[in-house]
Amino acid sequence: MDRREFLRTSALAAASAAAYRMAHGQPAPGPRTTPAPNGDVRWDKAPCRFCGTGCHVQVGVRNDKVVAIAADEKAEVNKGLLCVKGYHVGLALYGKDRLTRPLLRRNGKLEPISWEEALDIVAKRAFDNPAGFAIYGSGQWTIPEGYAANKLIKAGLATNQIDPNARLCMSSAVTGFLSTYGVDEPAGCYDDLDKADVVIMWGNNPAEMHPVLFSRIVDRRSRGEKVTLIDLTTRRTRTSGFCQHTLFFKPNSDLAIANGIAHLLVERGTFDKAFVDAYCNFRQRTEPPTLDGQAMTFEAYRRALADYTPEKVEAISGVAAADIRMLADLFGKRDLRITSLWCMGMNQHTRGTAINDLVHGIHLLSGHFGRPGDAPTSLTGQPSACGTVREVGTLAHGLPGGLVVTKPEHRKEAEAVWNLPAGRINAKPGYHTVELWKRFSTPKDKGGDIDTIWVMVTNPARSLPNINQLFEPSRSLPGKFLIVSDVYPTATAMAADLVLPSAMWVEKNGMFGNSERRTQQWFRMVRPPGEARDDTWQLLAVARRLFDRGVPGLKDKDGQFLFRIRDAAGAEVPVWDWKRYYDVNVDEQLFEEYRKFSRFKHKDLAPYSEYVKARGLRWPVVEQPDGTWRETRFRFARHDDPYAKKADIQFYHSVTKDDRALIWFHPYEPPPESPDRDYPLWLCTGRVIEHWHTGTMTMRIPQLQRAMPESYLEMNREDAKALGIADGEVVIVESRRGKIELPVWIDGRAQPARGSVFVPFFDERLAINRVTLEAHDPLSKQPDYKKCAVRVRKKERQPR
Amino acid sequence: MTVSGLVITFMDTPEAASFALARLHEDARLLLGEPVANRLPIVAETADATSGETLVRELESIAGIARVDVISIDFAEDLDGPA
Amino acid sequence: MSRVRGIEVGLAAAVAIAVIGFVTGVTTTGHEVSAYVSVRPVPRPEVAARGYADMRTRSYGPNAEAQAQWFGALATGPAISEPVVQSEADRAAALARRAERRAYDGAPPTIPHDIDQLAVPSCLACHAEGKVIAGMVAPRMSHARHDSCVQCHVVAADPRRVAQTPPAPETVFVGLESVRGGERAWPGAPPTIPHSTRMRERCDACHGTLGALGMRSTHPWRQSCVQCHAPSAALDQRTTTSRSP
Repeated sequence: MDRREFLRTSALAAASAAAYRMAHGQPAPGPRTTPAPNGDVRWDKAPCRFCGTGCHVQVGVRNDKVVAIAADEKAEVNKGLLCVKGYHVGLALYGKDRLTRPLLRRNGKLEPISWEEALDIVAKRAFDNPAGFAIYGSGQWTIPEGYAANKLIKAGLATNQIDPNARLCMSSAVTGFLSTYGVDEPAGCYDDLDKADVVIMWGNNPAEMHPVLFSRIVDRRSRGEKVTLIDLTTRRTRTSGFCQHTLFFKPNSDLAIANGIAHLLVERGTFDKAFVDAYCNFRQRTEPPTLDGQAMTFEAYRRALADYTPEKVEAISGVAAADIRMLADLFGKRDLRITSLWCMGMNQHTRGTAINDLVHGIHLLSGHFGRPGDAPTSLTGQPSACGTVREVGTLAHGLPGGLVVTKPEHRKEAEAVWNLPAGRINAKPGYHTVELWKRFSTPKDKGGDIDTIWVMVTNPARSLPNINQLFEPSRSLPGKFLIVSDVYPTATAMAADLVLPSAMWVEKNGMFGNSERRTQQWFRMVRPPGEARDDTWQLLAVARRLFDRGVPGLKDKDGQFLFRIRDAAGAEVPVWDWKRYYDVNVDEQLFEEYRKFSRFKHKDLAPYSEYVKARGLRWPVVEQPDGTWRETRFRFARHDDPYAKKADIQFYHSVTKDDRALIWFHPYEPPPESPDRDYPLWLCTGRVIEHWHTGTMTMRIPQLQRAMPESYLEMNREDAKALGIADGEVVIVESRRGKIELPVWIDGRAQPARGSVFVPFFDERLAINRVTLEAHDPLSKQPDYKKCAVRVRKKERQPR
Repeated sequence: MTVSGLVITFMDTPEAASFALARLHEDARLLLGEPVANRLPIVAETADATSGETLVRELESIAGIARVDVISIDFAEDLDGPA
Repeated sequence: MSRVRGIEVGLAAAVAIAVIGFVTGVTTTGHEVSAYVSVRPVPRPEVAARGYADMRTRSYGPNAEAQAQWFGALATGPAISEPVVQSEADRAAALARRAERRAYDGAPPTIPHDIDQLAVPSCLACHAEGKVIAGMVAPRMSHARHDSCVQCHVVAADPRRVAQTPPAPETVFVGLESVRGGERAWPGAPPTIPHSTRMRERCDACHGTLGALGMRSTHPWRQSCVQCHAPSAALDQRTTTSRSP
């Protein structure tokens, strides 16, 4: 034995003995010597499963079960605080009726089958008619899940028939960003909330929908800071009470308010001329509308706004002229820092793109942009609507990294990353959500060319608008086949032909991307129940079956499987075999491939291992000379964004290719359906703090369900009196499309203005989307869930 | 040449640990011993004690590794010297 | 503070309906209810009918009962020097009560009384320092001030005055239990703090003179708790469970 060998052997012996002592006898030195009560609980980080805020939690696990949740102290998003959903997120895994076996509908009944059979059926549907096979996904997909699904459809089947539920929640925000800045996602971030002097909430109720962010603002006041909160709303909510100004406006009139502010800024000369001259162009819409529109001069812009005097805006919107002036005064003060927040109020809007444009426009016009605290910021509803939908491009027209199928150079980039033969990617976008479901619910001989939809991580049987028309007909049409991957027997799963039981949240590895461009990572911590398995695995297993059947699209140009996962030695791992799936980290490999797309539009992502260490990082994450990775908080601003080099503010993806953003003019127009003699009331829908979307998870959490056990119709006391309706009475709410029965709650969680009612959509049993309207924005294709005309009448026989 | 005996303590989750383990396997400077629970004894060979310290810091920064304990160091600097 | 809730004229009738619904079990309104299987219903306080003649004198609203006795019953709890006599049984009972109001140890407790669902929460009126009102303890909140209290704390029962409450969902979740006590280095040594101090940094919220018997400090006059009782670095997320900065 030579000396080196001797040294190695003795070093290993010493280390092994020490390792044994540490593991079995005396514990490791340092802080870990503190005996931890409940020390058998292991803790690890994960982003919360619910909303787009993207809080981090610490998940406590014991004996393969989640037993506790703590707010993550190290997370910048939530700084050790959560909301009631977050504190109870661990319970979402443990509803008693988890799906644990694949189920196939035979003779009208769902019966257990094997995974092999189930996957063969899925693959056969895609094989037999790829053009009629669509995936309907979600802003709750993890990034690798969405990436795998997108690649399967865009590269594998080359049909582009994939769209997500996020179409229903943020696509107007996307078109707003694209038409204004030429590239998607907010320039600012949550740090703005710590610096803003004024926060304006445009049809937004963050006290219930983004509670942690709301506390971040109002808790500043408890510390003695002054923050002015302005609530632009159609109903008094929990947010209103905290606001210095609550301005009630008539549905759809937010466009008039925005124009009224712009009008005053221009007429009084209080807009930021230097900012506008340096960084902005003016734009107006064309017919038909496009994202690019056409140029207009400042003078034309000024003339177009001339109509929107405070008095005229008051007449349209119901907001007092004095309050319009107050808003314009605030925007006219350059020393104030102003942040605008919005979510579904502006996005679920038939003029969604237009109102998004206008709010960006006010900020640009007044120069309230780019300094910490000065930001127009859209908040996202779902945990990864940004990460998986907008960034991975799981939309009918999208490709990863902000690329689109309609641009030849983009297809070429994608084909290069995916190693595809030239021309593989189809240039024709697939169907957007409303169109997709319309075609699924239409007989084949009448143009219903979609015959299979594979739904993942969402509940369209409750969340689509006008479900009587968009969803239900498909369930009795011959040849239509609905596949649902989910964790609970949701309304959609129970209506499906094939049900695939999925692993959820910390039962699998995952990555999300939140509202402020923050990409987050977590590891699997517990095993899923029964035969429930990862959605990514389901996709890869189907892809492999199509490969085995010889579908050419499943091969890259070298004839290799499109989803080639390798071990450390470079050998392919058969991850389509569930037993081998966790031999390697599939998430990591898919992410590393996806990451190559992130450079095209300066949305740079760091290597997977950086996200393992961090509580999320905000893109662009740029490698520094010393090898570390730096995130970006304020995009387009030279003080922070490494890609803004030429000027203090550089819109480097400008539509007009001159580093300028666009200030749009859009006129106010009345909504497509307004109350009339037959249907005299406005209906608005939305959420409550306790529940997440259609309640399939939160309604199974006792603490949340008990606090808000059932949906209700919120009504103004005076309207109720006029109709002779008492609190608690069951009424029928009815539109031209459908009706449901539900109890009235007066002066409960919120108070709608006279002439309007509100119904939350969390209750699967009381499906308000039988009543809503599928009319949508012409560009974003996002439907308007916030306004349609209804009537409310007492149910004949009382009580129920 | 410096030969060090180290003990790696992995994070509590199996996925994090296997992530880190994969990283260790790739590192030619390391000789891996038999793991004991979430501890792994390893031997590291580096040019000198300073680069040994750097290596330990590097290991500590690998995601999935909770801590690195240095058990033994042999300062046989002249081992590869001009003998 | 007080606000007329929903019902005015038809109050008595409506209450009767609610009570009938409560007693006979719940008929659900829609379909597809198989997912929810009944467990024990959560009792809610009964609403007493209020006659016109009582309007001026009787209070109503979320904390009407407590309010009615407010001034007569306002008390501060035991004196700080009062000896504390408590047993293991007291502690077991206190922990059981805690568990009823939390999904797991560390979860924000649910609110055991009615609240105003819309207004800015006025919780701090009682819970900022803690009070005994009408024989009920309104505990001091255990954490620093946050203004949007209902962000984390929700009511434990159907918030609607007049409603038929659907059954609670079934869960197989088993939450982390509260530990019974800290560790002592030797008999008589001050015990360590056996739980996270995150959101529980004000020890007297539970261990002060208004704390439940069984959990009460024998020496509430001492103010600097962590002088003798060591918190756990692991539970307070001060150790590295992952390599995050």
